[in-house]
Formats: sequence, structure tokens, C-alpha cells
Amino acid sequence: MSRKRDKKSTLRLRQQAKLFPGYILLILWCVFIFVMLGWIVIASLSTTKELFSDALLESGFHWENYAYAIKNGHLITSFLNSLLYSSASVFFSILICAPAAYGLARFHFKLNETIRRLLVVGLGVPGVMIIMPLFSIVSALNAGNSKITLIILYVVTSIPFCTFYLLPAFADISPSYEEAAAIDGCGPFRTFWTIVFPLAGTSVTTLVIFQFIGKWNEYFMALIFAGSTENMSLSVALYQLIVAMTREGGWSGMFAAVAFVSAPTIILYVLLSKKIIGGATAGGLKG
Amino acid sequence: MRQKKSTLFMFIAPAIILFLVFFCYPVLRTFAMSFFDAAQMSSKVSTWEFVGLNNYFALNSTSFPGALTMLFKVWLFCGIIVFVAALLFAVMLTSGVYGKGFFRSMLYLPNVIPQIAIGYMWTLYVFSSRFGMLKRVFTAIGWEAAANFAWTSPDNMFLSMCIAYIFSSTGYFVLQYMAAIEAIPKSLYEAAELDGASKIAQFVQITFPLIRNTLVSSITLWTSRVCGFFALSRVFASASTVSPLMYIYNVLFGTESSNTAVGVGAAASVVVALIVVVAFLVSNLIPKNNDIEL
Amino acid sequence: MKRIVSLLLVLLMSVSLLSGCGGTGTTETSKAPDTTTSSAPEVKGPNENSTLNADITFWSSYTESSNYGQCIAAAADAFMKENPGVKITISFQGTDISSTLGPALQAGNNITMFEANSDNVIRLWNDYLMDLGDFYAATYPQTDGKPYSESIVPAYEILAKDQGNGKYVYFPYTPQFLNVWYNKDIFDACGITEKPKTWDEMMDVCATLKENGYTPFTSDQNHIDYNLSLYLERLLGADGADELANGDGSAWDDPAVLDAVKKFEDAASKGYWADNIMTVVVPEARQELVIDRKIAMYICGSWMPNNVRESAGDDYRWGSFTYPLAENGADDGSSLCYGCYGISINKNATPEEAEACAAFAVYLTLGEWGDYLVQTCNAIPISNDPNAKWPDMIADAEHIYDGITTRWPAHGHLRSNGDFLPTFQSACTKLYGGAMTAEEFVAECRAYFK
Repeated sequence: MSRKRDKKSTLRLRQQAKLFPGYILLILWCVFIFVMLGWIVIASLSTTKELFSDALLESGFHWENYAYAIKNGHLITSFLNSLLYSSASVFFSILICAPAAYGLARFHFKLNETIRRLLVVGLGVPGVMIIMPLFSIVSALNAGNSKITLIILYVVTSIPFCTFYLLPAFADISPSYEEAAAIDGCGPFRTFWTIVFPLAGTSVTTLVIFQFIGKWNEYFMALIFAGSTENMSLSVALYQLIVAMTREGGWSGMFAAVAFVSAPTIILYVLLSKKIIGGATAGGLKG
Repeated sequence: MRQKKSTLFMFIAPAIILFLVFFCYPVLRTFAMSFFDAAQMSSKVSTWEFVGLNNYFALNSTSFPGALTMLFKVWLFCGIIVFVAALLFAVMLTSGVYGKGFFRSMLYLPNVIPQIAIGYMWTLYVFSSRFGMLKRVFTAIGWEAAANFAWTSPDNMFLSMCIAYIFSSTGYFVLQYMAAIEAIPKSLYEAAELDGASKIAQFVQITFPLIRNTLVSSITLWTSRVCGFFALSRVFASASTVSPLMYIYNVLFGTESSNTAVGVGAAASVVVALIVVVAFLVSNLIPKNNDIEL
Repeated sequence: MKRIVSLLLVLLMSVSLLSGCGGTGTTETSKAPDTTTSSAPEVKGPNENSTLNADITFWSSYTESSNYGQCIAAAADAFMKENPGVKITISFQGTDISSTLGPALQAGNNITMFEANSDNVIRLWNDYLMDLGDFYAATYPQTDGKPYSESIVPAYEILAKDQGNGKYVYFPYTPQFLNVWYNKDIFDACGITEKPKTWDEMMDVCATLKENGYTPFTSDQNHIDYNLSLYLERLLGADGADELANGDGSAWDDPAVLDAVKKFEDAASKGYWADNIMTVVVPEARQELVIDRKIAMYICGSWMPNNVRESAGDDYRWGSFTYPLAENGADDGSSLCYGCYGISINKNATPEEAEACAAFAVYLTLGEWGDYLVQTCNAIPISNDPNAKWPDMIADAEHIYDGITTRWPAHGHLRSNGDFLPTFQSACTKLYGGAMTAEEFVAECRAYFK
């Protein structure tokens, strides 16, 4: 009995020893991230002179760097804006694409194949192709300075991917559920949202998470359609702030801005890491 | 179940109409615009002046061809490194290391930080020739040549940007590959183990064929990610890091020292779009491995 | 999953509520600028006679955090107090304004007035500029009974008319020019008393500096082209320099260009640029210049000393000289890269709005607030008042305009091709850093034009 356990543990040990180079790589990666983030926080609390003379934190903690960055960069406003853009666009793209994916997966009709092909091509067309005409539409509607523009843009550019991503998930669900619901006198929409949609849960979660992160980090369209101070997203605000600070030379302030912009997502991520990663991997990637 | 036309319509209409109005129409209009000379993005179609392929020829004497080459290099080199690294990490994490969940989270962490912030972390700190992390570390271990490496010089800016990009992209693919590997039944490995197959043999004979579909679709994903390359281009500003999107942005909106040329911008967009669409179609042609059903 | 989706929903709703009511980022700040050099003008009560009545949106090319931004915001507050009928909303765009304002104007946003480098105003937004002729002829409380056109430095009145093709389309302020800025203490310590007038004299100065253990030049990436491009301007003149940037590339085949670049290669080989010139990340070089005080010179615009004032401290003494002449150059020193910022009014503004905009533009740039702007932001006065004093920080450059008859663009001709600029800048970096020969430099620039 004990010999068996010994054998098992030596086997484990040998297995772990084989993984040794792997551990080194992984630990290096982690140390790198910790040092980088840690140093940036420390630098953000020092003065520019201290930074250049290698005397970090010599004169104590300079929290005013953060106050300065947050106020001048409108970082609170842009944080809320980013939250709005990401959550609203994800919400609406699911609301619009889930039924479409279901429709394409379930119903057989003449244009089904054509629509699918169109969406595949749409997957490949980069967003830059639609920017100019949308810009002129927006100009004509005088909506250049509105938060809704960017949300609509995020939603429409997500349609091909979201629809395509959810298609196999709905195709995998047995039609017997809907048949049962139909017998109970449940309308097609109610059936979809209350019965079918929850069954595709893992795929939807995965999609929500990736879309949310993707929109949170989106920069190109945000720069074009949400450039004004009151509509800026976090990335846009950060870039503008850093460019302004390079003119004025506040290095520690720049680090404060970088730290402040990264902090909320990192904290949220650490807290929810299990859920996020669990969700992100559960759905996986389907071909 | 009986399928009513009206029900079907209600399901797919919102997505299809939005897609047609805000996606297909703009794409066609941009395509048309690339053959015209227009004063502004919002100029009425009646004021456009037909110039044939001139906008495309004009691209040739700008920084756009260089930007395309740059993008291709990012796609190829960063792509290879990201895929290999992600696969390596994924295999490692699925072969029984302690703290798997923690390491997985750390690998994915850079993905949740805005790329603009990632870019500045690298340029302002890690690569700094004055107080940079790399300089400090290499000095501490006495490797002078590496310590003095000019990460932020114009010639090395591209390399430095690629490193930051790889850093921020790898985690995403690690997750995808891990999910795929974990879906493989353990029994296959146990059987191989009994046959005395080495880890490498197991990878080649079991893991790789079974996650092939995921690998193929990750190429498609990678292509569309790379085409949106913009934020790091702006942060690592240098002649060697101008991406096509960056060029298009400059030519559409003007900069401190350049004028706008809307038609040329449209032509550049069309070129980028064509390349991506072709890449997409080609990667869709790669045969899926459907022999193995799990 | 459900929980996440419902969480998202809650977030979504709370966010839309929050940003709905708290999301105004445009500034109507009342924070006074930092008052180290002079105190802000007294804010007066409402002026009974004020008939101005308009809501103005003003886009500025400064950033809110800069002393310019704070000064403009404070002046706007004071102006609104004196003219209760006027409401000014300022949006500080920073230099990004060159890409953001155009689209915003096209999108029909109601931007009544805007300001930026006057070259950019003309180049980028020419379709939206109001003819300010009547406002130039009018008198204002700040002009002492004279028309506005006679209250500003004549050179800038001429420039404004010239840039507007015979029309006045902007109110000039904060004049700027490119020249060589240096640390007077270092020059003194090396016994350099004469400012160099020719390139060769400047090289002698560099040699002296080097002997005394100082580094002659440094530069950040975004200013790195000025040194060589000013030399090329001096050597080839305006047309020649313009041809280099906007021609078909054949101008780079000129052996004179190669010889010029060779001079820089030679200077680089003697170590006249900072060791880290290849790797500095903006604004590292500027900071090192004023913090370490081991580097003597930096070629840049007259705005630069103000930008690094905090790191430099009060005891840093700025010296300045105009870019030296090239041997047998096409230019004899009568040309200068200079310009100014210009405040323009949207041509779609109503007469009431335009009147209020003009009144505010003059209020900000002349009179008490004009003086205040000059002193707090270390700017050059636009006022024609003989008593208008240059700020101490840049006073060493006060006579730079003497004998100038030709104007070059504010940043030089080599910068007029923005698409070429990154190539030129990175080549300059490598040239100064000794990583590139003159031949390679010319070939690289030439290659851009194919």
C-alpha cells in the first residue's frame, strides 16, 4: 500500500521535475508583470525629478499626481463612458444577434445560405471601410457629438461575429424543447428567450466577456466618433492626456494616468478572474 | 414545428437590416468613393469628381506600401511567436502544474488592460534607456550588450512594438487552446502513456490533430485582430511602426503637418479590406478535420 | 451566466444614469492660473453698457492643464462676469485639434470659435473662416481708442492678411519662432561669450563645450528634424527646402544636400549629440536638458522653455540665438521660421455670436489679460504697445525679429509633408546618433519618394 503511494508520489515528482522549465517561464512572466505594475505605481507617486535622479519616493507619496491626472484627463467621465459603451454595445449586440443566429440555425428558407455568406464576408471586412460613409451620415443627422453614435457603430460592427459565433450554439440545441413549449402554447419569442437562449448559456457568456473586453479596449472608432471631452472613452482620454503631459513634462503624472486607467480593469479582473476565465474558456472557439 | 414567415422575419430582420444599412451600404459607398476625388468625408456625392484608379496610384508614393509591409510582418512574425508561445503555455498548463488557475489568469491579464496603457508601460518604463526595467535587469546580471540595447531607437522601434504586442496578445490564445486541449478525453493520453509514448509524441499524435480546428480558426481571428492594429502604432510612433489604419486615419483627418485626402483614404481602406477578405476566404478553405468525432 | 448578464444590465442602467447627469466634460472652470509670476487681473463686476449677448463654444488647441489652458479659462470667466449676456464653453483639445476640429465642423457641430497655430488654421479649416475685416477696423476697450489692426505688432498684422489671401481670418496671439535655445550657465562656464553666427562658429562652440565635458546637443524625437532642416533652409532657401519635402525626390540627388548631411555626420562622429539621442522617448531629452544640466543646446520653438519650466526651476537661465548661417547659403539671415496662434470665428456664426467672439478674442490677447497671458505663460507679446515686455524666461531672444524680411513656415518647409516626416525624423535620429552615414541618410530620404 505504502509502496504504491511512494511510487505514485515519485512518479508525480518526476512529472513535476519535467515541468520545471515550464515553471520557470510561467514564474518569469508573473514576476515581469508584478515588477512592471509595481514600479509604475511607485513611479506614479514620485516626482519627475526623483524619477530622473533615481530617488523614487524620496519626498514621500505624491498623491497629487493622481488628482492632477484624473482631473485634467477627465478620467472619471471617460471611465463611465467606457463602461457605457462596452456594456450597452454588448447588450444590444446580443439582443439583436441571438435571435438572428437562432433564426438562421433553425429556419430553412431560400436566402439562408446567402445571408450566411454575406456575414462571412462581413467578418472579414475591417471597420475602417464603414467609417467614412457613417461619418457623413452622422454629419447629415448632426449627431457627431453623441454617445449613441459609437454604440450603434460597435453594435453593427459586431453583428457578423456575434451572429456567427452563436449560430452553432443554437444549432446544437435539440428542437424538442421548442416543440414542447409550442404544445404548452408558448409563443416563439417567449420560447426563444426563456427556453432556448438560456440553453446556449455558456456560448453567450463567452461571447459577452470577449465582446466586453474587446469594446473596452477599442481605440480607433472611439477616437473618431467619441473624441470630444464629454464623450471620450478611457483609451482616448489616456492618449490625449499623455500627449498633453509630454508637452509639459510631467513624467510621474503620466505613470499616474497609466496606473489609474489600468487599475479598475485589473482589480475587477482579479476579483472576477475565475468567472471571467471560466466563462471565456467554457464556450471555446468553434470552427 | 411550423415555421411562419412573419416569425422568421421578426427573428432575423433587426440584425439583417442593421447590417445592410450600417454595414453593407457604407462598404459599397467607400468602395465607390475610392474612385473619386472628394473634398471632405461628408461631401455630397454630386460634388465627387471621378478620377478612375488615380487614388490607388497615388498610394504608391506615400508611406502606405510600407505600412502594408509592416502589417504583414506583424501578422507573420508576431503570429508565429504568439501561436507557438500560446500552444506551449497551454500544453504546460494542462499537464498538471500547480497553480494552474493563477498562471492562467496572469497570462490573460494583459488582455484586459487597454492597449494604449500597455504601450505606454513598455515605452515609458520597460524599454527606457534611463530607468528601464530591461536596462536594470541586464546591468544587474552583468550583460552589458543587452543592457545597452537601444530598444527605442528608430530602427528597433518595430521590434519593441512587436514584443509589446506579443505580450498583450498571447493570453487570449492560451485560453482558446487550453479549452480545446481540455476537451480531449484523458483516456487517450492514458492509453498513450501505457504504450510508452513520450510527451512530444503524445502532442504530435493526439493533441495537435485534435485541436487542429481551433488552430485554423485562430488564424482567422488573428488576421482580423492584426488588421485593427492601431493603438500601439500611435504609441510607438516611428517611421517603422506606421500601420495601414494609422495611415488611413492621418489621411482622412489630417495631422499637424499633413492635409486630408479622402479619396486616397478610401482607396487605402479598400486595399486593406480586400487583403483581409481574401485571407479570410483562403483560411476558410483549409480543410476542417472532421474525421475525428469526440 | 444569468448572473453576469443581469449584472451587465444593472451596470448598463446605472452607467447611463450616471453619465447622463455627470458627463459634462467641457470646462467652465473657475480655477485661477498659478500665480507665481504675476497676479491675475482683477475681475470686474458686470459692465452696464455691455450689449453682447451670445452663447459661444470655443475649441482650443491648448490642454486644460497647461498654463495657457488655465489662463484662457480664467479670462473667459472674467469676461463672462463683465458681460453677463455671454456664455463661453471651452473645449480644450490639445494638438489633437488638427484632426478633431475638421470632422467636428463637417459634422455641423456648433463651434463658434477656435484657435490653433495659424498655419493649421489656414491649411485645415479654410472653408470655415469668417472674414474679420470689420472686427480689425473696430475699436475695443483694450485698444486705447485705436482700431484693432493698429494695436498689434505690424509684422503679425501683415502676416494675418498675407495668410488670409488679403482677408483677415484670425486674431493673432502668442507669436512663435524656431531657434537655438541654450543653457547660459554652461556657455559661461566654458567661457563662450559670442553667440555663433555661422555653422562653423557653432561647431567651434560645440568643440569648446565638448572639451569642457559638456554635450552640445540633444533633442526629442518630435523635434529632432529641426536642426538639419533649419540648416537645409539656410543652405537652399525656401524653394530648395520645399522641393526636398514636396518634390519628386530628385532634389535629394543634389550633391550640396549630401555635403550638408556630411557636415552633420561629421558632427555626430565627434559626439556632439547626447549618447542617448537614439533612444530618448518624448519628453525625456527636454527633461534631461534642464534637470541634469550637462547638455548645452536644444533646437526648438519659443514655446519650449515654458513647457519645461517646472523641471528647470527658477534658476535655469535660458539663452537663445537664431539658427546660424550656412556657408554660401541661399539665405543671408533675413529669413526666420515664425508664426503665431490664431483665433478664428466660424463663418456660420450669427452676427451676435461673432461680435461676442471678437470681443473675447481681443479681451484675451490684448489689454490686462493679454499682458497676463504673456507673463504667466512666458509668451511673446502681440500687443503693439512699446511698453509690452517680453517674459524674462525668453527675453534673450527679444531681438530675433530684427532684420527679418522673409517668413518661413512656423516649423520649416521640411515639415510641410506630414507623410514624409516620420521617415525624415527617424533618419535624423540615426544620423545624429552615428548609426547612419550621410550617403545612407540621403538614400533613405530618397527612397521615400521612389
